[in-house]
Amino acid sequence: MISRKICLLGASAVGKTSLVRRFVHGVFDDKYLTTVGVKIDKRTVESEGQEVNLILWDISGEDEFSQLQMSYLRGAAGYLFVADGLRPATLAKVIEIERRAREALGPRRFVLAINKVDLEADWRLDEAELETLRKQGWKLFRTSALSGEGVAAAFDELASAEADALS
Amino acid sequence: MSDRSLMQGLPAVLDCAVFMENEDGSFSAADRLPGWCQGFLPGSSTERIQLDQRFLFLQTFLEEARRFWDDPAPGRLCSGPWTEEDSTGCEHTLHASALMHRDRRVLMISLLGEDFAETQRVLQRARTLALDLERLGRVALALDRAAPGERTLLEASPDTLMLLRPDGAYVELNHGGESRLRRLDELLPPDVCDLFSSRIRAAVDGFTPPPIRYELESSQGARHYESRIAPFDDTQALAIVRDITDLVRYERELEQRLSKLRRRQEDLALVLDELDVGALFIDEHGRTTLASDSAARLLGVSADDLSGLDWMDALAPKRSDRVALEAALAAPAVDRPRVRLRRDDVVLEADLRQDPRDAGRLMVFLYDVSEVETLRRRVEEHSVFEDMVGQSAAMQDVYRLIEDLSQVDSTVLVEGETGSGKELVARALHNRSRRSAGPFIAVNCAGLPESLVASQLFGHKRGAFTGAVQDQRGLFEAAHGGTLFLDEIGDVPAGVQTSLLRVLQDKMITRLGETASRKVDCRVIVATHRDLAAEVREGRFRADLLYRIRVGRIHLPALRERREDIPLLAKRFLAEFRAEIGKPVAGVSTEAMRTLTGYAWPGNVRELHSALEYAVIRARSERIQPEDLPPELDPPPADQEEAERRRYEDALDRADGNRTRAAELLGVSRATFYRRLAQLGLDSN
Repeated sequence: MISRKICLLGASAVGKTSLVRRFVHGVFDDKYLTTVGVKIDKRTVESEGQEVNLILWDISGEDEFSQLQMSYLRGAAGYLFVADGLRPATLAKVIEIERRAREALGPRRFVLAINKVDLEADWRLDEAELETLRKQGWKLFRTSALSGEGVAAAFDELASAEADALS
Repeated sequence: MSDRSLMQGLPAVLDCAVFMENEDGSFSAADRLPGWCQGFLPGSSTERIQLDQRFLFLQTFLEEARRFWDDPAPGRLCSGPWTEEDSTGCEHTLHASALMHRDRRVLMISLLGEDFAETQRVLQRARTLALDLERLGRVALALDRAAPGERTLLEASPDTLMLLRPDGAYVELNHGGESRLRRLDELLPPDVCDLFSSRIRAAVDGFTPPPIRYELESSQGARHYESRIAPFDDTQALAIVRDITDLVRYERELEQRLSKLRRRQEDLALVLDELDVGALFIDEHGRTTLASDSAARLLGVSADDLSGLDWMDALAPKRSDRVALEAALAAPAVDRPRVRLRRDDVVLEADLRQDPRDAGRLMVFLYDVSEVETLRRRVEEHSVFEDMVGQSAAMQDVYRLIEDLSQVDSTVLVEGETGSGKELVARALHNRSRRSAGPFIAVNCAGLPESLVASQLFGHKRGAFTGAVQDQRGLFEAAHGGTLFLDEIGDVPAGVQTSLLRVLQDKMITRLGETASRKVDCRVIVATHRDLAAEVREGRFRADLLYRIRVGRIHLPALRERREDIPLLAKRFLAEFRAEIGKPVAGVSTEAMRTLTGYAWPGNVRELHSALEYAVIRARSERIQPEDLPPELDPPPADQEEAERRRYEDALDRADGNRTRAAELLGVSRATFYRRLAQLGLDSN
């Protein structure tokens, strides 16, 4: 079994912790509780015939009160960036973090989860911007920690990439 | 101080686990490990521990730490806080530091305690507040960016939209309001601010509080506002602020108009009082809004007591009357019957009317019908005579004749069609006569074989004929002291007619086979559906017997000759069937009654009785409908009209052309009579 460190990154209150809780424990709690530092969890998935132990680093969101500590990203095999579909600024924050991480630690595999798809009718994201990201090779997933939609698919994408790389 | 003594002091001060790296990359505890650490290192030795297998976080931090130890810089390398579950599933938030101490590689892992929790709470508040502000800004921005049409619509709205927080901060969302936070106390006087605060708190808790009305002074004078505050999310409320200055003015004008209207209603109630008509005005919720004094007097309460009462409670009906009221209310307004309310000392009639101005409202008019009820009871008393039912003039004549003839002992001939109730007349004569304590024996002469009639009537001696095994007294003897009713006398054989004549003349009978006569003491009442005079003319009936039996004569009218009695009869029979059959059939619908009164009834009352029993068995509702009646009662319309034409012509004949009298005979008003005459094409005659 291979173990891989996956970091969840994004602005604060986009739902990173909720996505991990949905993926690992299958639960959702709409009460917002800020993450301080990093919270570590794990889940083993099977991908491409391989068992992959995903060590999930749910890293405190970046905002005016808290800067991302790049040291948390060391040793990560991939990133799961998270943006809030209701808040366009969080997508800009993801793009910024991805750039900084790439500059500091080199390229890594990553996917982008645009969260809160259960409220898609109220989304404020610019579809053209998303299309541009897709063209740049970003893999986008519409997710909802509330309903579970798209959550497993986003994590599985990273797991299968790791399994592929190994084989 | 030795290394060991230094390390022994540190854990006690910092509540942390201190490890030193061994040459093989494993770690050894410098001292006793704190309790929280046991969850990560259960049962482990404190020597040569693979820490990166015990703490997921350390898998990467130790790589960094080793780089630090290989090329140490002043100070220490800090991990930053991390949260991780131990082997028991318990979460701990920890912090690691790597440092060099006298060439020893030291790793300290601390449990972050209350200080960290407080830091987290502060950060939580700060981030929550930031999110609130971001939401406010987002809403404002969204409104700013709204499509021109939407924006115009929003700006055209007379209402001001505001997002409010419980601490009094707000953002105006339209009417050129700025998206920056402002405070309610800059805008509103303290007392109104307090009202807003309590309602915002309620809205944030998910409730929808009642609206606030307040008045503010402006350069244009006093303005009135109404603010409705609704939940928005768990930190903010949405307020819709409306200038209701014009509305308040309209309300005041409306109040004045309502006041006038109330005066008019009171005037109306006064008039109704004078007319002795009680009036209750019922709102759409069934509550009494106004009761006239006469209504209160009729109901035996004060008008104030009636105000606001549920209308049914105001009328306080008995159970059966309540059912009738509910049924009347459920009926279509055009076909809604009045309902009798029987109270201890008064009988009221309730007329439920829709308020013509508002179909949801009701007006109840109450009439004191005690006197009418008394009269009706008296009429009903006269409408039932013994077991006979009918209040028609023809039946009243019958009752009077029965009264007169019951006082004498004469033979009576009762004539009438089959089923018209001839035996009832005979029984009534008996019951009211001095013989009422004696027997009443009825015999249908048409049902007796000729060979047996004489034996049955007069008796026989043993051996008088084959089969006469013992002495047998006849019906005349059996009726001794009472009444013998001979139905269908017209069907008695000629031989027996002679014997009958002798009995009636001499009051003596002779049993068959005997020679001696016996005295009998019974009254004889006979009946027939035949025209005995015609029978005499045809030679089938003895004239002398006819003259003997028709000392007293009662002619029972056919039912078609007293159609006005049909509703009474129907009521009586329905009561009977309700008890017998157990179906709650309360009455006959107007349509069905029209059929009943339009039918010719060749079988008379007996046929009506059977038809109604049939209908009660078939009935699916509380009132008999036309389709419940036997099919023979529903002739084709043309026949029906022809039958009615004949009835009208017959009535005119019987009244010698006097239309008033003809109308009386038919039991209809003159107006109805004239209208139907015209419709039947009889008015020209």
